[in-house]
Amino acid sequence: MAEEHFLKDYVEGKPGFKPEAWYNPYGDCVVYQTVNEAIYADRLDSLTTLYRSAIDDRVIGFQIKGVKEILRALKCDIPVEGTGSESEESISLIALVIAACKLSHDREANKDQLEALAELIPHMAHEKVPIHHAA
Amino acid sequence: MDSGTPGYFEYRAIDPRTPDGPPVVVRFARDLIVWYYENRSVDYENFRCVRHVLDNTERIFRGVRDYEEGELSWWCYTGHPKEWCIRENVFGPFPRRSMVFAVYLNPNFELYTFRAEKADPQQPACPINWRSRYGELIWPKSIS
Repeated sequence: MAEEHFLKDYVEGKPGFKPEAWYNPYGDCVVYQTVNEAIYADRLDSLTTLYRSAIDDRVIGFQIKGVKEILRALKCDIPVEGTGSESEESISLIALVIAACKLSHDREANKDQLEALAELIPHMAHEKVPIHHAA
Repeated sequence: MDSGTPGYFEYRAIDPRTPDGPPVVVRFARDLIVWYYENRSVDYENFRCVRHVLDNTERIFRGVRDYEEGELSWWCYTGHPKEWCIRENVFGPFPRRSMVFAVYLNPNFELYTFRAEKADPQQPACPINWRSRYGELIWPKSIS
């Protein structure tokens, strides 16, 4: 696709990829992705959607929505790490995944989906999500 | 269409509240655009698909979230772009028969995410399981 990108005036430098979790304040959701490929959605339950590679169907990430509600509901259960400054607070990505699974009102996930999600754990073992926008 | 609000790219789309009336202004926050550019370059390329869906909307759903705040609605627009970016510098035809491209907007009509979804085999313009996932099909009002 050689056509010039219509948003080119909004960006500078080189495009890139970082396999880091991000709290998206516009959607009140956390997204995480390990590979820079097009994805399609595979709903796990009411809060978590797996990202599958559009190339070979493997699970390469996920989205957790309703993060503010999760933080409110499990405030005492989720270890929030920080140095006392609200702007530096972050949460363990794994803790957020577990909390989302715990709070989801439905249980649609099947064994294959859960195993695929579990395979991401080594990638996200030390991943923290800055949450100051979600507070 | 370009930015009318500082910090945003603005684009016009069907207003799901008044589909036969004037369009609604959909906003892409600059920091969202920059985040995709710096962190998800493949998805940044697929902003083109977002524009295609807003120009050629096939379905609009309301009620994307389980707990919506009062009268505020979250929205999903769907459509079928001709092609998309599948990995860095690699573009290919969008799988029109099996997938549908979904564009998600918050109650302020700000774009927050977009992605392909498996399509309903009976309703290719709808994501699979749309009847249980979304609150209501808003546009068009009825489908065969």
